[in-house]
Amino acid sequence: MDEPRISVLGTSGLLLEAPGELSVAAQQRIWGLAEQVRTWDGVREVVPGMTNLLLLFADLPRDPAMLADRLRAAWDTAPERRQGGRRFEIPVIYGGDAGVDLPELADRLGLGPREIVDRHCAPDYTVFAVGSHPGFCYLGGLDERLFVPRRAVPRLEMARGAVTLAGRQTGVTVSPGPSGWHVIGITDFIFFDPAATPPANIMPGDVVRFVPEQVLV
Amino acid sequence: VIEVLNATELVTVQDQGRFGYSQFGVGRAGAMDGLALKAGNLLLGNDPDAAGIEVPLSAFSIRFHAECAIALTGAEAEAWLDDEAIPGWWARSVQTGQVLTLAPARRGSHVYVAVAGGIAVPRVLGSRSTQLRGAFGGLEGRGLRAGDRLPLGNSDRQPAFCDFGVRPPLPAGQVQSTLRVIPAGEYAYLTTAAQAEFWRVPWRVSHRSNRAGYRLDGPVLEMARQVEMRSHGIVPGVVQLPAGGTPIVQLADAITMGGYPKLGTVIGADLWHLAQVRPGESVRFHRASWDDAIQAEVANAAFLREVEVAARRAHAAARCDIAQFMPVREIARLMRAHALCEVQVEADGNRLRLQSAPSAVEPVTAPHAGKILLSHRGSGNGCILRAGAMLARIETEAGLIAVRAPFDGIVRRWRVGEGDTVPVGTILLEMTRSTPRFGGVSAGQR
Repeated sequence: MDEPRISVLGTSGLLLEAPGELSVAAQQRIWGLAEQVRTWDGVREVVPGMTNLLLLFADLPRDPAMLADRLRAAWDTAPERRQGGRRFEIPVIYGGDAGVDLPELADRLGLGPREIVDRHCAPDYTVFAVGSHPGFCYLGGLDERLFVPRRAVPRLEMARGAVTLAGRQTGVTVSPGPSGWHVIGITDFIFFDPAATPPANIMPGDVVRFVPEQVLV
Repeated sequence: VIEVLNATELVTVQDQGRFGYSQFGVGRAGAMDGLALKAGNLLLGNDPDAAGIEVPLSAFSIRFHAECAIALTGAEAEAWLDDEAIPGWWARSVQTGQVLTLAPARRGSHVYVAVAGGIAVPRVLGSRSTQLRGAFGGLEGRGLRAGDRLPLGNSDRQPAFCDFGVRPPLPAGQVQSTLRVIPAGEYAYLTTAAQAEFWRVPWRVSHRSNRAGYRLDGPVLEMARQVEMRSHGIVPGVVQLPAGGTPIVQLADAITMGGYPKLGTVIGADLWHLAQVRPGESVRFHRASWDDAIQAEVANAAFLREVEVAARRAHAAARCDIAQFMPVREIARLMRAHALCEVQVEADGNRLRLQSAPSAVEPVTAPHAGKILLSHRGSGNGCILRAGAMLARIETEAGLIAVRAPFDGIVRRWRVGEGDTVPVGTILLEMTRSTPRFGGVSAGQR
């Protein structure tokens, strides 16, 4: 079996990267590991990423190598953990002013704008991780025909609720900020509320489906 | 309440940051120079994690609508309380209605204004720091602007009277531009030449830098092996190498996940040094061991401990001065020693007012033994000063204390020089009053 890769993030923490493919099964093993590690003494928090896990130190450990060994051993026996499983429907207005990149993408991918929308809202997407900015969901399950490199020039301010895609990923911009992804639509779904517990509405393991409310092509 | 009179949107309310919410995509935020903000809080007897105001490279002014005490730490900037100059790393009592004005930092980048009791904006997800991307925390999740009103917290340990300072963690005006870095996951994928360059060359901080990260200009670093990274958790201090080949250092407002190759991580104890580097200035990376990192943490903690001890002594001294009953002769001696021209004592409905005797030339004496620092400008021979203006500072065992003009007047002659060590009561300089007063007899009677 391939070994995981463990590296140091300065005095902040340790990063474990799982070997193998990006799959729901591999991700479930990361969630299993996260459940154990977050209870360890000396661990302030854990951040599950895309088949990886960042462990953040509460205090500087005397010897990070010992903690790395413990992390490796925990990975070897980590069970796959099913979590989330709630289903969310995200209403989207595709195209038009809020989805300005749709015509250009259609040219680039050799698909009609309507077909891009159909392929984008067909799958059940699994939330692999939440991160980057508050409430942002990393979604697995994008149709291969929609894989496309990032924009050459990033936009300085992507709008709140922008439905975007780039690389092998699709996602919704939760709060305005810079982004190099292509925007194909917009939603008013609330992903994050700092006054709620937990503050993120959708969590890893949940399933997301995009529902076209309007298609402006 | 504090009223903001003038601010740029880069001025924010910050504490030591928000922890425990990375898994929801919420980054740390918090003061860029956490050490300076902690020290400012300790000067005032606050919890070191209390919220203060971060002022990056811009002018800023606020009016106080309550009696308060403030501390200025971090970058070197000219500051005035009304028209009294306040040095850096200094705590000062503030009267209702007074205005604090900061000029843009002269050296360093981030100035911190701490207030007794802390800035009492509501905690959101465990912290008062401003989360700019999420638009929450701080004041309405945004930078400050004129007209904003900031609530002040209550402090039961609020100092009675403050006018003292401490030595900054680095000698005045210095910024440490060599940062200790521990190599990270993809450092080994750089070519051998690029690895050597990473440690060797100065990296210029780009003007396209902000609280989220500093972009570094320098030679293009080549990877010996291209890697496709999956998005993973990152932290402030991580040095990434995007496709362009020049590094970015993630900082306080970093996003929580990234996928660029990581060359190293600036150790936590050195992030405050980086916060004080200005765009256009350069930094170098020094390869650090784990032991180096631990020692650096210990050094920061020792500095904060010194600040705390100095502040406790100064606060205790202030309380003692006010509380103690003293016979008149003793009061007169203290008036001389502290260069006070008038003292008022109230007890059981009686009021006793003592004024210093008139004289053509009046001495200003050292209120405490220590080393004289004449660094404050505009108080040389012949200068006309207002009462309260800073004349010199005295470096004592407990920290720095101020010598201020006891009355409106003119500096006639300095009797001590920069760096002199003097016992308490030494005559430092002679002043004459610019508007003579004679023992309470008003000028109209003559």
